[in-house]
Amino acid sequence: MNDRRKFLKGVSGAAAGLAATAAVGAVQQGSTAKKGAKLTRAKLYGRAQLPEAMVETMDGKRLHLYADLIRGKAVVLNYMAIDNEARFPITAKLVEIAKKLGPRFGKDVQFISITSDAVRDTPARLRAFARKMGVPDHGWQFVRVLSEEEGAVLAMRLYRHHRKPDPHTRLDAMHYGNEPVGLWGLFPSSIAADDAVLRIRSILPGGRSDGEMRRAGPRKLDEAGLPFNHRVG
Amino acid sequence: MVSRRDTLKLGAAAGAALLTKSAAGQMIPQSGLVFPDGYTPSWVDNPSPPVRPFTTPLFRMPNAKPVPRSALNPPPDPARHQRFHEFEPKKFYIQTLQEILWAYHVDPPYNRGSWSYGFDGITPGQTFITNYGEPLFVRRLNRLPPVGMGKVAWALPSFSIHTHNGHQASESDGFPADFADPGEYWDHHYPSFPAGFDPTEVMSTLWYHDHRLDFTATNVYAGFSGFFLAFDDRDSNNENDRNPQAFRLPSGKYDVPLILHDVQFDQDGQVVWDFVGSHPTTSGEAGHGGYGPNPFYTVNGMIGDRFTVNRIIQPYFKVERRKYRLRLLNGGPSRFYSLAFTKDGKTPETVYIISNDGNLLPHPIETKDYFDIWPANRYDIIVDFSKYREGDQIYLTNRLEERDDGAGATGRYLDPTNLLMRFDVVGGRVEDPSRIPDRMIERPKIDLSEVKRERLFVFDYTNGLFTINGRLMDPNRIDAAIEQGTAEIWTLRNDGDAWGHPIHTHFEEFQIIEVNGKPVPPGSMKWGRKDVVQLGPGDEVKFFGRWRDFFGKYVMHCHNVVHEDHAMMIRWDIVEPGTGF
Ligand SMILES: [Cu+2]
Repeated sequence: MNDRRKFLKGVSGAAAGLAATAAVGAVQQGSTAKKGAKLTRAKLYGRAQLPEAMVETMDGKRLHLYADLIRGKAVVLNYMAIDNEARFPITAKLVEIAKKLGPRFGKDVQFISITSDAVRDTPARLRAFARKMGVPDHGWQFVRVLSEEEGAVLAMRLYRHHRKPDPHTRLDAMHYGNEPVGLWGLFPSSIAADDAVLRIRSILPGGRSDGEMRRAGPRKLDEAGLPFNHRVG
Repeated sequence: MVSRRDTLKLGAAAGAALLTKSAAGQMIPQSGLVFPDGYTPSWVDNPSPPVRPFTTPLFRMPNAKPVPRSALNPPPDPARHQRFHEFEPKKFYIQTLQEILWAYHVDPPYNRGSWSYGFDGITPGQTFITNYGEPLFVRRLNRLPPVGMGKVAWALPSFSIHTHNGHQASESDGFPADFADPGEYWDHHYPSFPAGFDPTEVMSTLWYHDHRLDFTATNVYAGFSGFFLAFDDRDSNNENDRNPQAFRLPSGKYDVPLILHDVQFDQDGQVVWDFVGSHPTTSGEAGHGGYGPNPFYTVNGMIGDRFTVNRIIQPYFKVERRKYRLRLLNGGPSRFYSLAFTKDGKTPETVYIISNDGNLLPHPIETKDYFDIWPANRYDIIVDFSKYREGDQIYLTNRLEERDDGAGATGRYLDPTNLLMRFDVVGGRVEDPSRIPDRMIERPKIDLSEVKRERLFVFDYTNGLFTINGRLMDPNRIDAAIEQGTAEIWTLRNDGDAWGHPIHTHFEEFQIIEVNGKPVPPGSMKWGRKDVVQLGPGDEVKFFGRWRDFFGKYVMHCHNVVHEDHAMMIRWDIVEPGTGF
């Protein structure tokens, strides 16, 4: 800001717009992040611009989170901690969502749950937890990030914010993205499973827009439907 | 004037009124520079390609053209709309939402076009010219390429178009979960009557924009916004009106809607969304895989480095020597402005503010100062160019410095300022039948005996997410059930110390009673009907509102649309009397 002011000092009136246009970006180089330095150094991949992180799966395998689990796929990605599930049952919600996704689950979209309690949530514990919760065998990985630094970079990228995944949280979101397209959003973990299914489906490829148009809504006033929208069917 | 005092108050209320010395030596408050510094938007390293400002003419959106009722197949279905037959549509429209190539400027690379979302080939979309008593029906077709097929990769090809702040039934309001995907359409019925049939509730400058769950910010930024103007027999769209009640405000080609969006571009002139994914850049030097040139995406907001007006970068507009009605709208996504019309880039010219948030004020306010305009705020302003000489140039000027991360204003004023567009005065004296009326629309009466409930909404931030009363948006949860036909008093409090939140509630206008415990001075700009509250750090605003005419779900949310998507929004419903909570 001050740099810009200095840079443009003496430029007046009408010319200022032109100068400002040319100068924006040429200045302020000095103000680049300190706190974000780690992320600056992190290499980011693909259209979703995600960092890489080594993870350990519940089967004890070591994988690259981005290259092995996300690249080329549509994913739902969330943070959880086993000891927090009684107060914040995010995994139970995901199980419900997975069921409602039907055949598209595991085929068109994969789930990845990252523990925010990497010390306690060992692969064996995650495996037992997944079994207890009725998590399907395919299409869903529980993982822990092995490096604290990579974990911090990943969380910051996903929430686009300085953020430490909190193993005691009562408020969180699920990230959903289509990696090859570069489309990435998040929804609160508290929403209805039916709602989550609609949102997840909306980022999957498919459908046409050039043919006969279908009515999305509103549905008839006396027609049954989902309580949180006016869509048909 | 008002804006300056408000800014001072805002700083004091935050309890963090750090004073900085501006270039002019004037002490002005920091309005909340507390949030961790260190985010740098990618345009700092990869600025948008330069342009020669004021070399591209202003885009004047065409008016939406009605179609015959028979063009709608299937025809409008009354069974899908509340009170359809009472407000039988008189005009019908079809709007096609599609991916378009839009030229933001005549200079290369912009002249080759930027892939955008538009309405029937343009952005902003066609202007709807509507009249009270003349309900309309709009069918919107989603002809966007399905996911993965489009050129705009970072936006979602799905829409829920909301007319802000139309008095329409829930199913036509653009509720965020009421989306239409590619190949689908949605019918919107706009009944065109003032709330409660109260003539003091007549509105004038509305706009429409996307409201899709989780993707409102990207989709509005990509191009889904436009104007929706409402007229009646007083604000009659005719400056020659012989009706003695008519205001005779400048009309026709002298009534000019102006929507501000700040946008970032890559070296090919393609729009960059510096937030979730982004468009590939050809600059390549940053070495981040050739896509987003910088990893600093934040939830604070999205700030572009090119100022556009009606989706043209720094346009010029030739004006005759007479009065104009300029309808200013901050279309976001996140930037706050403090605006004035200046000749020297600094000193405000005298203008007349006639409306706030789309509502004509009781009387015009003459001002020679800057005025604050946050996302979704609107002001109709009469500028009298007859006092200038041929060849004079007047600039729409912004002096508010925005935090680079988009969280809000820094509290500093820019020197030099940003010049957003230029008005070029041309020609000799001309006839000007238009007027600046002495009186316009009185405020609706506030009757506290109608108040059924008082509510408190606290806006805050928790670990990367934006909350209201500690919760995130769930369209399946009713956060307030308001009994139809009652009034309520709502207190909005910003418990955050770093963000300014422009808070918007749908469907009904409200009247602010108190800002930080102090009553709104009669005759000031906030002394009128509004639909966006400027909730600065630590601010508390109390308003009175009525809820009438329809049932069903609506929303209140932050209109920094990045905050809205993360998920600073509530659902409130209008319910049968006796069933509220
Ligand atoms: Cu906000």
